[in-house]
Amino acid sequence: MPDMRRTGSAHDPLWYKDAIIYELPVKSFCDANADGIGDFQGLHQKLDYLQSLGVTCLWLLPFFPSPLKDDGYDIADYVNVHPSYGTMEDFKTFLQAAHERGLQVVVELVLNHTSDQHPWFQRARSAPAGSPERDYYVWSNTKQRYEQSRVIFVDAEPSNWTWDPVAEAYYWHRFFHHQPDLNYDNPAVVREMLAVLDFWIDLGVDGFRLDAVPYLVERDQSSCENLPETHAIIKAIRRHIDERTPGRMLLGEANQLPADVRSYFGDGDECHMAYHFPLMPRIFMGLHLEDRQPIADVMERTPSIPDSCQWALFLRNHDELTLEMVTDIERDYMYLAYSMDPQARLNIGIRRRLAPLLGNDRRRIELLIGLLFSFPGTPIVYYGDEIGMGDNLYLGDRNGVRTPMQWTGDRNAGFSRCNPARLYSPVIMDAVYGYDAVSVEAQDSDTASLLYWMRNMIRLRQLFKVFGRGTMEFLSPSNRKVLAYVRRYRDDTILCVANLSRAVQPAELDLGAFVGLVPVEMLGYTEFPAIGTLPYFLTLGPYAFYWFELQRPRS
Amino acid sequence: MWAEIDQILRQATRQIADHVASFLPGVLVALVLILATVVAAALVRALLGRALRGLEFDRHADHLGLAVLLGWPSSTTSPSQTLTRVVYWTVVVLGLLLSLTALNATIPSRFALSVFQYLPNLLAALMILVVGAIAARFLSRSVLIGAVNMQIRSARLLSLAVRWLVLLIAVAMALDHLSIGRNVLLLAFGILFGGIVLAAALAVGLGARDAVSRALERQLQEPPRGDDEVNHV
Amino acid sequence: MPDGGAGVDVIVGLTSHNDVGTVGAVVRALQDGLARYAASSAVRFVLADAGSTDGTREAVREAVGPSALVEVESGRGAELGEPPYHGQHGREAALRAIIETTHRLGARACTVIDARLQSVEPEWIDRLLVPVLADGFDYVSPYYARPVAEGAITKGIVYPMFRALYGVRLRQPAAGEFGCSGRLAAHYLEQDFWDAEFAPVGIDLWLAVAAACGEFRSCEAVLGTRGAVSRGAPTDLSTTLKQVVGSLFADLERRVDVWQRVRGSRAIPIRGAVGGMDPQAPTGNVDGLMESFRLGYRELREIWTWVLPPRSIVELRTLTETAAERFRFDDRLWAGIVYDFAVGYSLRVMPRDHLLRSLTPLYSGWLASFVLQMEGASLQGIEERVERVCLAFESEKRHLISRWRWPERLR
Repeated sequence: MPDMRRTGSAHDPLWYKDAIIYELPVKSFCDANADGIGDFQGLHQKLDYLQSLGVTCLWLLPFFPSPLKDDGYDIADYVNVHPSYGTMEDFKTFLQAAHERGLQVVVELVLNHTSDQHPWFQRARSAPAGSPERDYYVWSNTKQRYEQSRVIFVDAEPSNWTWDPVAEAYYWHRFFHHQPDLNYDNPAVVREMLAVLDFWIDLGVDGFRLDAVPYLVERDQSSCENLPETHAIIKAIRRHIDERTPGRMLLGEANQLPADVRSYFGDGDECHMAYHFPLMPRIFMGLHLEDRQPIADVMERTPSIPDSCQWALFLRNHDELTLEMVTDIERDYMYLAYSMDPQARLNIGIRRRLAPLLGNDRRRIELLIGLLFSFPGTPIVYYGDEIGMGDNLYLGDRNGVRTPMQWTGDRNAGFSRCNPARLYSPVIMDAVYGYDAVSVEAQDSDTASLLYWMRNMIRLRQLFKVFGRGTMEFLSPSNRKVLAYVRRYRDDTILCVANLSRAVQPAELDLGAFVGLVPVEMLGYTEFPAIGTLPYFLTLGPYAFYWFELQRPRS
Repeated sequence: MWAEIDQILRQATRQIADHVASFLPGVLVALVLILATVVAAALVRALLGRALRGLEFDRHADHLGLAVLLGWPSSTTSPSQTLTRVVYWTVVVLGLLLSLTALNATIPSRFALSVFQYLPNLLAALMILVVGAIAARFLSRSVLIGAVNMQIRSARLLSLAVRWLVLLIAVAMALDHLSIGRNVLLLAFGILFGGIVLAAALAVGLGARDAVSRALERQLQEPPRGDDEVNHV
Repeated sequence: MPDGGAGVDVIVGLTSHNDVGTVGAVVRALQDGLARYAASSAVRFVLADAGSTDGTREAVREAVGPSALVEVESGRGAELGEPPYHGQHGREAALRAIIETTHRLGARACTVIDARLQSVEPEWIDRLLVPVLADGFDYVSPYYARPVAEGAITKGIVYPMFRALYGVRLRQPAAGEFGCSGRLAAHYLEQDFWDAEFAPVGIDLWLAVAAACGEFRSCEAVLGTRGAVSRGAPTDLSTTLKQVVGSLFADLERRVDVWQRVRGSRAIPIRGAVGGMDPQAPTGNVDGLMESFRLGYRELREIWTWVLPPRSIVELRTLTETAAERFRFDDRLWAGIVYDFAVGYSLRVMPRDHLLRSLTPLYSGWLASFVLQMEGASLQGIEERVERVCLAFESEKRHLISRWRWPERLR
């Protein structure tokens, strides 16, 4: 029934370009029913907090029924809510409340694989070989097919093929062995996934994060990544969405080099957004080297994308800080710089939160968030990073960065009222990052806190569309510890200058293109001397960053 | 002899059985009542929780400054949670008392009855106090600003008077609901108000007669004051 | 209802409520002006009557004739008999109906006049409509000659703040009369302020703001002195101030991306010659105003500390201790106070009604100082003085922006 369909909640079809996305696992955010696991009712209670923080879009990690062997990315039912997180009713109430506050909601759509508990897989393994049911997944009698494709979870899986004794055949999985890959050569599978998409669209969800998109289709003699057939599937999905209701956003997760990721934008007919994976490690690297080169390099090597498309930028997320997209030497450097503790390493990456990675140095945290907010793209803030939450390396896999949100200094950090032993994960309790030291409540009452600073920064960034939509040009001052760039959009010109070093730095900027304009520092609205023909001289304090509006002088 | 013993024993057994028989339905009813109470309380809690969430009670409470005014223990328990909890336990306690009555034990039932009669009053009294405290704060500030804008010199006194008046009335109403010292209260208030009014009347009549008449004359002769005629917009 | 939509050039909107005594003269003056200055244009009168019971509608029908009149429904307030606002009740509905008609009939220009305004002259058509029809302006705002103490909220708050925020020097941004183009009318209908809080009192101001924020050309029209139009019961100063300043502050949040970028302000053309005005003795009760300021300082200081920084409080204290003859309210202090109240309003530091009303004694203090300084001044002198207030608002604007972007909690 077409009139039952709800339209997207944002008026502007390009809303994702001006968004600030807040990534959160429902499980870890707030527990309303005291069972130790966060739920939609709890999330609903905290919507006012999110609104006051100023973020405009929530990205929910998977909340579907699942055996939870991969934190919900192993889905056993695409069109329902995991009972631990609440009911479908709870989700609808939450969604409506979020929309009332002007918050968009993006959910996960794991296209590539299902859980081995999914009815489709249970049906497939017991169906005879060659039957339509069996054909939902990728089967083989030998492990020797698709040998050129790499194994991603090298620490956990020896091969991409696993023997299934019921089916008496090997099934294909790019990730864990309990996540068999769907067979996208089967049109029935595509139809099923479009139906799933329609289900959530009709509820009013504003966007989808397409998990692991490069791996949809497999072909012999290839790495089975980024294949043209895979792109055809994504195009079909996009076409389906646009025809049904425009204004919904597709965010593709393709952990690839920017040049390869570029193909996932198509000609503006595939994903609206995709992650910029290599930027994140290079920002950290540039900071540690006190050198802008790694950052400027990666941005200059970033291909241009269609006008309707947008990069998704992040500093940290629910996974490890992945180092797959950097060279061996860079990887070595990053391990030496940021994870002397081997506990912190996982697969090919570092599993830590933002604050611990930066030694809990407020100036460095502010600098990196300043960079994140002023680079061309839509920033993603990982839950807890707005208060500088810590992590717990002694929890396995990536669970150390998925601990309960720290709301107060009370029991269970105010996350839940249950017996502490019942929590899905222990709260952080160490002296530096523990919930008695780091919590929303504590920072809410302190105007000098990181939370306050974040609120103000978000408020400021939202005043200027140039950050989400503008172009970017790097300046090249001779001092390589200084990163300077100009963002432009329509009449707005913004100059950003950052000092990547722990010491005071001078910078001489060549602003010849802006002679006569007056830089006005954006936070305090302080006018600086007008730009002349000589290089513009600035002194930057340790880890300082400044944003200037370049304004025409008063007549 | 055996026959007698047997008879006495039978009699005793029958008596015990009778007692048990007469007591058992009460126990059963009590058990059923307790069960029903727990179910009902849970139901009420769920419904109320849902309704309050639907009404966005916390948000509105926050806007009204309810939480701040009452010094709510922030974020650990939201106003809606507190309210749901209060209602839940009220229902549970009421149910337990009801079930005691069903046991037909005289003392608990009498106690239960009196508590029953008293409980709504207690709740109402609590409610009155809370509302009174909020209203007193809000009104006293309103009166202060209003009085200053009307250029009443004793604006602060007025606002303080309003605050304490509202608080006093709230307390008196609460006490009245609890039927504590009703007569004393009535008397005290009567004397207090009567005294104030009388004193004011005497003061106006005797002391400030001229001033009042002058003011009245002024009011009558030139109704709007000079600067009110100016169009500020 | 006649709907001869084709080929309408000009809409003359009349807002009325029980104005049978004046409406005839107003319509005649306007018809006279239309015949003289816009003879070639096809004109429709649009009557937005708020439920008159004295035959106003009939009088207009008779004066205009059925073929040139469109009657629109407005004034739900009148039917409900609710207490009138300071402005005309249902004013936003009346204006919306007139502007909708303008858009629907595809007219090129529209002007709105109050049917109770006896000072209407035929020249007003020349001033309010011809700039739109002939010179390509989109918004025409009136320029009234007003004595010192008249319109002091406009002189001391609305005009300086409007000008500093939106960069357009409109002296009467909240006047009830204006002219606008068909293009601007279409833009107005897209705005979302029609049902907002304060709409009945703020709508005139918001229309001016919308014109200043978009890509529209504005000019001013000299209309002489404005006759008094009193509708509804007279309200006290603090309510008036609350409504006017409240509507100004409420709009601030909607326009934040505009006013944070505007720098300086620009003069706009004036149509008609600015005449002189007889100097008048101060009408306000200066001693009363000063007394109200001192009383306010003594009793409301506690409330002000929620929004005003300690520096301002100390300066106010000095002022309360100043003798009457040297009583001067510094322009920068005044601008800072208004801006701080705007930030406090946006952050909801206390109930907004309390905040806005507690501004009254400060305004009284400013007004006392203004009246004292302007004793016996000519229109020119008043203009110059207001100009200095405006410059203070413009130079303090950066503090507003920085505090808006990086709010400090004072308490």
